[in-house]
Amino acid sequence: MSECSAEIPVEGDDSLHLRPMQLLVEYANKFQSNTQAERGDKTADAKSILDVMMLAAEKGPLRLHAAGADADEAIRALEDLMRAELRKE
Amino acid sequence: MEIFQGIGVSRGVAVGDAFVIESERMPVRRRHVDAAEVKPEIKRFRNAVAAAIAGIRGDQRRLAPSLGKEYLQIFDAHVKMLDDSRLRSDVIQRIRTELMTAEAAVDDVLERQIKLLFQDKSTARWVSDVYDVQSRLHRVLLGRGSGDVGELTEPVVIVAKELMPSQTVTFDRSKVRAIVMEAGGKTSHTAIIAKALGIPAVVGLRGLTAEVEAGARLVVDGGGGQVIMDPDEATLERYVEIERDIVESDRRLIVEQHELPAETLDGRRVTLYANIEFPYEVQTALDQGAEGIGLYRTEYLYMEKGREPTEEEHFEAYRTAAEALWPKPIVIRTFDLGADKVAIGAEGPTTGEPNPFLGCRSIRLCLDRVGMFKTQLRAILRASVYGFTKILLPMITSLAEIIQVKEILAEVRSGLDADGLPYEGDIQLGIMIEVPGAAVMADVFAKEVDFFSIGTNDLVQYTLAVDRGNPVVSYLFQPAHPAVMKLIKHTIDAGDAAGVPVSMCGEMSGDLSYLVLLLGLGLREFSASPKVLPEMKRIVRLIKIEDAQEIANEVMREADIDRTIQILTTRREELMKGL
Repeated sequence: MSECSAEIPVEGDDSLHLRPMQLLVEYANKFQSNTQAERGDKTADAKSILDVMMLAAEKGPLRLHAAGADADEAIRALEDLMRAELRKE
Repeated sequence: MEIFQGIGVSRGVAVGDAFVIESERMPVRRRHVDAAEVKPEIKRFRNAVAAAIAGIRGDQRRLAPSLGKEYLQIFDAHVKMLDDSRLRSDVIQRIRTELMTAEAAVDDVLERQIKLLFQDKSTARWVSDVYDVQSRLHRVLLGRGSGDVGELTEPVVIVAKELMPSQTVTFDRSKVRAIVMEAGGKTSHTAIIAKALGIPAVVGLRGLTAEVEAGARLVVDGGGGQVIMDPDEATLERYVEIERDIVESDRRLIVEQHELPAETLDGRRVTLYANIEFPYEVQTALDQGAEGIGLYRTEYLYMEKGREPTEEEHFEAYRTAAEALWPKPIVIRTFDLGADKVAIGAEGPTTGEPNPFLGCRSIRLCLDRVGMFKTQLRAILRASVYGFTKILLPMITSLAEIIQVKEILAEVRSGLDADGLPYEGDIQLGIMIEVPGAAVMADVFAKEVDFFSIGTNDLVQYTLAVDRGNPVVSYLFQPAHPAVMKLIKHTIDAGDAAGVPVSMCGEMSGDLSYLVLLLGLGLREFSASPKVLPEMKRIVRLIKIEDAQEIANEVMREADIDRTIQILTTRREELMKGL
């Protein structure tokens, strides 16, 4: 059991689009660990798109946390993915 | 005359009578379920989710030819919402602890979500997407959904408070002249789809549904964002003229091309076929100048019903299409199920395979379920007397499979003989070349079959061992990769040597940047989405085969994929400049 976190800046107009969030959820679901996405005051279950989409109303960077057997791996994968996706916006 | 100013989201001008959609939300009857009903109710919910997802997948496949990929992704988001872990756990918990029906539980959870989304401008734009998901579940659970428009018989202007993306994509351009909506902005998914479909649209007109009576004459200017109700004579005339001009110039390209053969400048004949999924698409294909159907995908018959179609259902579909096309040919591909195409309902034919793309899919599934396969073959043979039908087998990897299918066909024929049913005696049998092994063996397979059809999506995926749906590796999905080119070239050459016609029905064949290259490689038959056919014909008519061959030779000498793409792009630009 390990824990791991990452913070990813959200470039552009500071609003999150649906596509990167979909990918986040898709990839979070590939890991066993519990994964959370946070932005502003909100925390979302990174495995639920209905949860994650609410983060669009917040401002600032996206923070990811994972806890579980594959937490390190999960955060590395999700961080890479989100860095690439959120830069494109 | 009254003028309303809104936000123009999709250009174009249209005049038509208002069709007002009252978007009353669907009332859900609430009742408690017994403890004994809890389990079945949870199962009902799970099945509804599976069926709703299958419905979206079906829509996506059906719409792929008319909507670009980026628009279809909107529906990927809906699939994610349906397949959501929190939706699942929240709904199941309500059924279990509050003894709610599946539909009431779904409603509670999604209504709460919608309330949350409405709290902020940046999330409110997804409200119609959640409505859409809710409506799809209602349609399965209750047999009807919110905002079903029903069959439109006359062309109209749709006026609504809010349209869902899934509603908008069902609009037939010939029946929906324009869309006018109270809600929405430029970035709402509904607006994006209207634009992709080329339907003029104006949004952000608060209170409009109360102002407009059903049947009122409307002028919609999608560029200027104006809606004019009850226009005076002069205004109406002006707009009718603008509308006619736009429609005319669109049609001119199609009509001009329609009359002309697909022939290169140096007189080489090329055949352009269309890919379709439904019998009713035959007319569209013919209107776009198709010389036949090069690929009729039959999976939808299965996906849509969530069960095996009966022989009569198969037969009806094939006969309708074959009759409408006669004397032009139709190539019917047998079930290409499994892997990404799984049936409705929780249990697909091959669910639970660890490696579905390398598993029991396509022809393998058919040979595993001979009964299902025979039913389809029997229907195709029966339909063969109504037109010019050919059979195409997907995912062939070995000679043994071809021989086995021939034996099964012989059994089906004797069954038809016994029942006294007529069929075409020497129906042509072809195979898809979509696995590297099949491409390598094309010279051997050519002795056993009547034609080849190259399927590029799978050929690229299997040759380069890459899933293009996986964003981490999708950059490796390169149709222009030299390995893919060599396999295609080998297949074309093997076909030519044996006198076996080779066509291509994959996405690549409708991709204009590859058209010239493929012509240069010797391909003379193409099957693509009906929409791109006029443009393909235009390009065919502008090139010389020897120039195309030169490009192909240059590409075949290249080992570097980036160079290949560069060659294709510059050559294409040169060609276009010359027009």
